[in-house]
Amino acid sequence: MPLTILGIRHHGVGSTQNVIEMLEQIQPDMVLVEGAPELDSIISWIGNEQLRPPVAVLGYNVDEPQQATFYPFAEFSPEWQAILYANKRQIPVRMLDLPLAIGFQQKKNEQRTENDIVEETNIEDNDIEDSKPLEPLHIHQDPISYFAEIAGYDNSELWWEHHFEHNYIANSAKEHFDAVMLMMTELRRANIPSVLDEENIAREAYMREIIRKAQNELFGNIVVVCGAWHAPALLDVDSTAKADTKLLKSLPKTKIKVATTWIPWTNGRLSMYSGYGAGITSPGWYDFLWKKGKRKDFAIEWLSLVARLFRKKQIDISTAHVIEAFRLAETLTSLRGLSRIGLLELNEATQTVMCMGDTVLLSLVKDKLIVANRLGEVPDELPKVPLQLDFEKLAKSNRLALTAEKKDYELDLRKELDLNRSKMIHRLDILEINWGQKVYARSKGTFKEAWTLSWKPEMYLALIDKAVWGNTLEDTCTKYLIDTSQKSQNIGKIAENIQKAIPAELFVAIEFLLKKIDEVAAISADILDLMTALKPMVEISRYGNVRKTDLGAIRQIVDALLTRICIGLPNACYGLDDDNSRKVFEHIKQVNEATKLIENEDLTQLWFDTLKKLLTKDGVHGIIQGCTCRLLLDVQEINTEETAERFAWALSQGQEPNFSAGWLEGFLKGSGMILIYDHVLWNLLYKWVAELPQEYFTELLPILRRTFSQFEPNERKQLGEKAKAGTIIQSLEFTTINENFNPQFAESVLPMLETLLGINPL
Amino acid sequence: MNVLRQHAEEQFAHELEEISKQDKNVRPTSWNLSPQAVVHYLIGGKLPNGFEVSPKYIGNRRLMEIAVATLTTDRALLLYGLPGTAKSWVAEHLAAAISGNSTLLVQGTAGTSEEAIRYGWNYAKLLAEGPSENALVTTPMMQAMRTGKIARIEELTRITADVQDTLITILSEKTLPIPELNMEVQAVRGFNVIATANNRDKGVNELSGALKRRFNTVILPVPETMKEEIAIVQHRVSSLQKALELPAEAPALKEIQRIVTIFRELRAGVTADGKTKIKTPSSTMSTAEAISVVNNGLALAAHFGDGRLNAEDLAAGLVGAVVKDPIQDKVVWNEYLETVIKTREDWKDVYRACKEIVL
Repeated sequence: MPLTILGIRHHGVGSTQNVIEMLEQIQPDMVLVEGAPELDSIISWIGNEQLRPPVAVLGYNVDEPQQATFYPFAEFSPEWQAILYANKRQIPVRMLDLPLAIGFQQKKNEQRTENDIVEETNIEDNDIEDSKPLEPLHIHQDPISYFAEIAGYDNSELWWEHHFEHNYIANSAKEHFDAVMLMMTELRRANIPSVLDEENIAREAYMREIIRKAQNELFGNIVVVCGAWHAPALLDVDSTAKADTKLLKSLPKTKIKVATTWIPWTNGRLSMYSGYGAGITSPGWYDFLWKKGKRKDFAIEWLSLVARLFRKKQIDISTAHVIEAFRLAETLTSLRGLSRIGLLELNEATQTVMCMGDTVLLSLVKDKLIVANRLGEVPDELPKVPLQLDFEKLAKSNRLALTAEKKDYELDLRKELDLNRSKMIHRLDILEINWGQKVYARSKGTFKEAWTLSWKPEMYLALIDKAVWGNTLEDTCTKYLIDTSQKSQNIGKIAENIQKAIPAELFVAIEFLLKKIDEVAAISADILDLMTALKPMVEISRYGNVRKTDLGAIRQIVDALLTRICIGLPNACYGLDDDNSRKVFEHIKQVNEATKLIENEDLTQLWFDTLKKLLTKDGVHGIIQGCTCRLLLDVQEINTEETAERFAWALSQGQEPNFSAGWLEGFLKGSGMILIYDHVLWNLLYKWVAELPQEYFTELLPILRRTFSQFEPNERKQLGEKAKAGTIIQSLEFTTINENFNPQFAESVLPMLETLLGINPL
Repeated sequence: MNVLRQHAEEQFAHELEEISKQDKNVRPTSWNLSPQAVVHYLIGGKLPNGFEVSPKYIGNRRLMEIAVATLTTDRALLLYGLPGTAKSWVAEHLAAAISGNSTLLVQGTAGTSEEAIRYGWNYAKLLAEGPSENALVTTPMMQAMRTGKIARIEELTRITADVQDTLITILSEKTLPIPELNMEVQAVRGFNVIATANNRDKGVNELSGALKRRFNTVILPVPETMKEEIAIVQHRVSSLQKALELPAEAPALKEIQRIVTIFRELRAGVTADGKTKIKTPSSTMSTAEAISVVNNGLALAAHFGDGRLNAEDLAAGLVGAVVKDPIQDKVVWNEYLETVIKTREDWKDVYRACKEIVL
């Protein structure tokens, strides 16, 4: 029974061409392609007109969709072409690799035992050291680099490309694969370690098992397409049967259900490490090679593509440039002893001839041609989770394109389409799918929103992950919000959810959340929590109106929140330590800002009364009292004399110096302006510092420094100059005493001045 | 020979001869060596028979390959970059290796005239005999064209635009018309031009679009790694020492490392460990300047010191290289001295030596 193993490089163009040639030569009755067996059914879609690469199979754990793997395919991938070949001729195709379910189970088990292992190793430390012979630490090296080094290459990728991918020679596929097999056999025989060694043992055993199964089903002419490294291990399936069965029995049992689906992929992501453990860096170039590489003049075509790209960007590139660049690339190739022009030579020629040696322009070529970022397409009738379907329908009806490239939208929320778009982006945001990045809208007004959208394939995974909450986007978001808030007693978090829910127009959720926040606020003993919640709630009540939401309810909640804060705050501030006082201090400032926005006189007055209570309450930290004093002064709730009184009181001898310093910090936080203009306060401060005993001064210096270092440099300078002058007596500033002043001399210029000014003309 | 500085083809005559003997690749018409051998000569390394070729350019081999490949096509080569990135050095060695003659050189200045590039007249003869080939004064460019060799133009962008443009015919038609005599000089195969230009100087004459198109541009970068730069300085200093016959001891690696560190840090605006931000001076801080600082120090050590290179010998040259603008650069340098050099435990001698030099 002939069994042909074709060792390939994933996404390698030369590999693909050789695979096709081999398949046509062998005419197999069964094709086996590397990939998890769970993919068996889904690969029948390859060949469907609407499935346009780059695409990927997403395989995920049905119960925990976060556990997932991607198998990306490009049109030039050997796997894709092999499956396509089989599908077109109705030859059975199967995938061969370790099932995803087992891999997922292994990972779970590892996580579970990690903690146990830590404990165990502590006890058995000595045993382990004895039983294991001292092995030199292996630094894993790409196995192929051994060959590359011998050939004088410092980059193994480049070596492989030159020998196996770029130089496709027709009718020599067999030699190509023989060479690959020979090389890998030698490497494996030399016991050169590969990164995935341990994993590979089980994977290859399973691969052999699948081959045996196919042979038992009497398929007589089997072709296997797999990563080159595995090729030698799959040759002998008979003598390994027993050992494999034993090994496979030791694998973890699993009940994990794996589901698969096609998702659009991007060229940029092809370079990502994925299910195969391999990627490529220049998918656009490979795509070009796949389509045009067989032609003699492919390099000229590539260079004219480059020239066209430059011209599109208003950079003058003539045909002569293309000619010269081609000649240089050709010469470089022969200088380096290569038989075919490669991307490196083309890039160097482009840079030297077209870009004046500059690399900046070359990055344009990299983006647009070498990587050529684009998104694949998948057929609509593909089995999908309902949420994904709903999402795609919405995207279509809202005319939002799922592109990998960044695209800017400026939405006018007065228009229905734009409002719907905004709703959709906000809803996705709730599900932690950050498709849109909010940017600054140029025009003013709350009805404008500007977004930059960029779709990433893994966002599909997030969609599937959230699919358990519901079948439509609206439903899912509502349930997700309700569920996450249900368990939460954190008012701040709930308020934040409300803030998110309003632009997403999730009315059911909003209603629930409002009720919830009211409930939680009523029983919450944590005044800090209430204070955190106030700011977002006030903002919603102020700015949420654009979306025609009924916000009367929010007003009430805001009022209730503030009232509760006013009642609870004085007691909550009693006996707090340094750190907590600092927190409260920040919160008081925030609430103060918020009250300005509420514009409710009664409530504002209530807030000021609370502050006044705090101002004179015993057992409250200095920083809080200093802060309240300042806030009240700023709104003229207490006058300057009263302030000076409090100031003097806070800095008086009898106070703990720590309290005084804290008080100062609270009072002065942010701005020292007041000290420059108010001489009374300045004198008080000056006197206090002067009278501090030395040991206290050393102790307080850091606190004082912290306060003063936050002032503007200019303020600090003025304060420093003021400090030089000492205590200031108000009137002193305006008198000028000059002993050399001679009134007679001064008067003598007056007539002339009068003449000049026209008061007393000549 | 008693000349101050030998031409590349004389100084490295032995290497060139050896490479030529071993060179089995195809040589383009009029080339002394094959392109592969020229690259080998520049990059250095062992020949098949074990002969060691010294490296002339320490850096990216690919750049040299591009430069050599360019010269085999009929495009001229423009080496572009900061002052002191070995542009002229590479140009000289390319000409030496390809044509065995690096002396066909036109120095570009604001005063370079058309006569310096095309041809001039011997006026005495012109008056006595009338216009004839005999009265013609040839230029290096014309000689290179006649003999199929490489001509060099230094500082191309300093030449005024109208004079630059006389090159267009030479580079595209490969001919030099002499209308006065109703004749022309046609370039022989093997002729090409290597020009250098730097992109730092102010008041340069940008190349016209037409001329630009006749050049392939290779930008020579500042050394990528610390190791590379130290290797360049050490290599060049030890070879220059031979040429200048300084009797000092071999340059101490430690001193060179410190100089290179200082240069790199000031150039990058951040300390080598990436932790401290520093201001950069207006001077270019190129590798070539580092080389000259070390050489300067060696001379000082030899003639005025104890023959060993130490911090004192380097300090004067170092400060001179950094401080080009007497006001701004002085601030930059003093800051660097106080915040970076002073804090380094084993750099005390550098600090003291630099401190002693009052600006």
